[in-house]
Amino acid sequence: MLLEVHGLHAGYGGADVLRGVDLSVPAAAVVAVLGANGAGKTTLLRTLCGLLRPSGGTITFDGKDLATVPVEHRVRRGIALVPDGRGVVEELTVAENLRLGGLWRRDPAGVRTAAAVAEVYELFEPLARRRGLAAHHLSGGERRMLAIGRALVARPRLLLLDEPSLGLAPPLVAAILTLLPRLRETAGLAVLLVEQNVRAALAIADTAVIVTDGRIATAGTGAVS
Amino acid sequence: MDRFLFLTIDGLASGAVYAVFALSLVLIWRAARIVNFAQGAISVAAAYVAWSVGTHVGGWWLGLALAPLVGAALGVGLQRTALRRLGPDRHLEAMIVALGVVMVVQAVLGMVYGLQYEPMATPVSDDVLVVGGVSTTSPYRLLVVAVAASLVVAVALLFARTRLGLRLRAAATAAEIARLSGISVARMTTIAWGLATGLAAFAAMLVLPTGLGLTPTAMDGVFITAFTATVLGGLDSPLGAVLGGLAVGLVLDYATGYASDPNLAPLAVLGLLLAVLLVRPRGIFSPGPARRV
Amino acid sequence: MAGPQRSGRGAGPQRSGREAGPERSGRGAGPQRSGRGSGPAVGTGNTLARHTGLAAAVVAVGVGLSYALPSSRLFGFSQFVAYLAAVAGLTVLIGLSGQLSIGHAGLMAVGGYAMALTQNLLYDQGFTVAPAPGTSRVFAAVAEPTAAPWTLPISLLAGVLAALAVGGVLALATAALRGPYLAGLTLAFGLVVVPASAVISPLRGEQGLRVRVPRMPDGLGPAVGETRWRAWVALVATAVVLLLLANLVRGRLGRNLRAVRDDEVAAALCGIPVARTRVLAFVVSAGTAGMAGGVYVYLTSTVLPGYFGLSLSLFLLVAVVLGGSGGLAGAAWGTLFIVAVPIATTEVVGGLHVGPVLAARLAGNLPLALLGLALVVVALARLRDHAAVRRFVGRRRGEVSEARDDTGSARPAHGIRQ
Repeated sequence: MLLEVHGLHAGYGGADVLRGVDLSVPAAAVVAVLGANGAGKTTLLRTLCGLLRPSGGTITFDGKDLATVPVEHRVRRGIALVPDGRGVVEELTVAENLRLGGLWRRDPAGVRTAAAVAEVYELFEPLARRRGLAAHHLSGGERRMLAIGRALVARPRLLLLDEPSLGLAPPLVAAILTLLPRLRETAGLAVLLVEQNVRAALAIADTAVIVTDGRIATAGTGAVS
Repeated sequence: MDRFLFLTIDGLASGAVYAVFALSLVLIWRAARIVNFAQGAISVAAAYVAWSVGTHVGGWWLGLALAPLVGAALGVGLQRTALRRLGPDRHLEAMIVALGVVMVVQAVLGMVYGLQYEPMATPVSDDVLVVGGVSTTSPYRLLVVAVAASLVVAVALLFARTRLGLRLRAAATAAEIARLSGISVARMTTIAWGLATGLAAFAAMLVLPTGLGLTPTAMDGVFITAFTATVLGGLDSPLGAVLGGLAVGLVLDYATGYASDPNLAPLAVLGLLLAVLLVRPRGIFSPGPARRV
Repeated sequence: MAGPQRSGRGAGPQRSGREAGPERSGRGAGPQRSGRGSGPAVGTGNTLARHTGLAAAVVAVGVGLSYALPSSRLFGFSQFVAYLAAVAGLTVLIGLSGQLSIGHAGLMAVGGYAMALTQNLLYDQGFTVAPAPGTSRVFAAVAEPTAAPWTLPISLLAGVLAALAVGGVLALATAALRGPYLAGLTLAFGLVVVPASAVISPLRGEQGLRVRVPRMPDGLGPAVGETRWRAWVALVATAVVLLLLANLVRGRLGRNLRAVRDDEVAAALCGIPVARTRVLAFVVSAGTAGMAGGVYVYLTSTVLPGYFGLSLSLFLLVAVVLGGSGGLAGAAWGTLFIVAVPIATTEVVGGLHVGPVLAARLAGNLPLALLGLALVVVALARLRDHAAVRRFVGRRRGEVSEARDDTGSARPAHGIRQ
């Protein structure tokens, strides 16, 4: 297992939103995280990437305890989050936003980052066309692509995606989501996908979990009727 | 017409100093969302240290190299000891602490050095060169413009072309994404402070030899003038700070030059600041509406 | 803030924007407002009476003090009383309205100069009384007429009005802006006093003006004495200022200010005119500074631009913060501090055996250093408490915001979700 979560508690202002989450994510798998609003899906992702400090439970990534690792160091370990909403730095250009993803590398000539950026341009052709443009000029869909692209430049082992389809037109949603199984094949990427669009998520996921009231209620394969 | 040309060049020379100082204010504003009211006091303290050393060895040139280091150290010290404790939204309290620092710094300087003006000699002549019968400017002012321009270009290159600059920009404008990308926003904030107060100290070394000299309150006027320049250019805009600094330098020189009364300068600054606030408070180059926070 | 017992006023569309209409002057005037829940069941008429009683008591205590104190301290006492008016107004501005002014000494200067010019104008117009024969006066040989007593309230009022007007201009320029703009503008204004006095020739620059203030009424004689009489006048003037302030703070303006300070958006949604409220707070504080400046000029019979420099503005700020930015009692403690520290350091330094140069440097700068240090320490200590309380009460405790990091920084916590 790449990621093992046991009994995770986390929340805001003294009230726990996650109340004992158990989750296992293998390497190279797409796991859909479903559930109603407020159930704790986003809270789970934010705790996994370090923006939220858990109040109880354990997180083990690649065999090592993650709970005390500060958020700045998690990208180095191989965890990348694509937040919902503001996922890009408005003032920077597309190219600079992508380069952000690779800054954690001690790579003076930036060779590996440049290679990763080139791959992202191949994946997301609109970004390639706009590489010199400041991010605040991009459309909603392009910003979503840019946010995902930045996370991919970090070459993570685990990608945390928070509602990537939100506010996007269906063709774009399909394009983005079908990427994920491809990345699983080519890069061995594990993906934790929080999605409201259940049908689309289940279409590409290997397994799914449902978060209810701060716990994982069910887990199963993505067979959809 | 002669007078106009002379005042214009002179105005650009003093404007160059305001541009550098204004840029230093904008750097801290972008990184920490406060205007550092202690910037003037820190820069004058650095200038005092540089001058003390320089009178024994190295002169103004050594001082020019030393002051920014002292200024940066003081700024980083202030940020790490006092301001960091305040937390993110305490803008009013941060200003109050900065003002307390101003009081302490200026008082200590007064006790150690006294309140009298200590003249700072210019490294090259400050006599006006007359070229073909036209008064232009002095070698020193040309040096000031050259150094100021180099500083601005260096800072611009740092931010636009280097990995550190990318980190600094990300940390200033999108802290969460920066942290997710492995950037230590805390360290970037400290670096921004050091950079800014170092720049302010540079500005002090450039401008003080042209005035009456060193005194604990010598940079108060520069601070408020540079503040006016940042309001004119937009607090968020480094380019606005530079252009605003030049513009303010010109306006002040015209205002005081034609009337030949140096007392008019603070009045002109106040008038200019009022005018900008009433007409276009978000500044000329600011990207968004005037911040309500 | 509209607390639970006043919920009828807080909610809903009946709080229209016509807050400052003439029938709602916000000065706590009149029992007819008590029915609208504007205070505890006793109603505002009683508040006014109570405050007036308190003010009278304060004056009485002050008069007593003016006899109890040694005559060498009388001037310091008067100075304290004069500054208290300014500090009280500034406390309302900073503590209640959350706005920072670094130029309040400049507003005192406006009041002082306006008072001086008015006083001298009235004197030159001939509104004088001749000194009574046979009264013991130090300079009886110089039997100059003195200004008529009623000229003083007029000139003080002129000072207040001038300060109100200038304060209005400054406040309007930054009314809609949050952040450092008002602080910067007031700083720019404060730095203008000395140059302006030189440029505007009737103000006579650094040498200042001699002001023809009325002398003590003849009947009082040596039992009172000129200095003590002036202290009493200062007491009454400051008491009037404090009375007005207290009523304002208890009334609508105070409630609006607290609402705006605590949650601007919610206040606006309740129909409170945010910008206008903040302008009013500044203008009121400017008026108190104007009175303080006028009174100070009266005490010294001169106005010098050097009185009203940046240092004084900063000292006033120290007084507010040390006093807790809270009520009038805190303002009194803070003012006492900023008046006492310079006096104390002068005496301490005088007792030291150092050369005259060093002694002068110390005496001149030590108060500034001490008060600045006090400002930093108190500001950090108090605010850490505030931050700790906030964190405990309902802010995002689990959120790893920037401020709570061990690495720490003063950065906005972008992660906070609403």
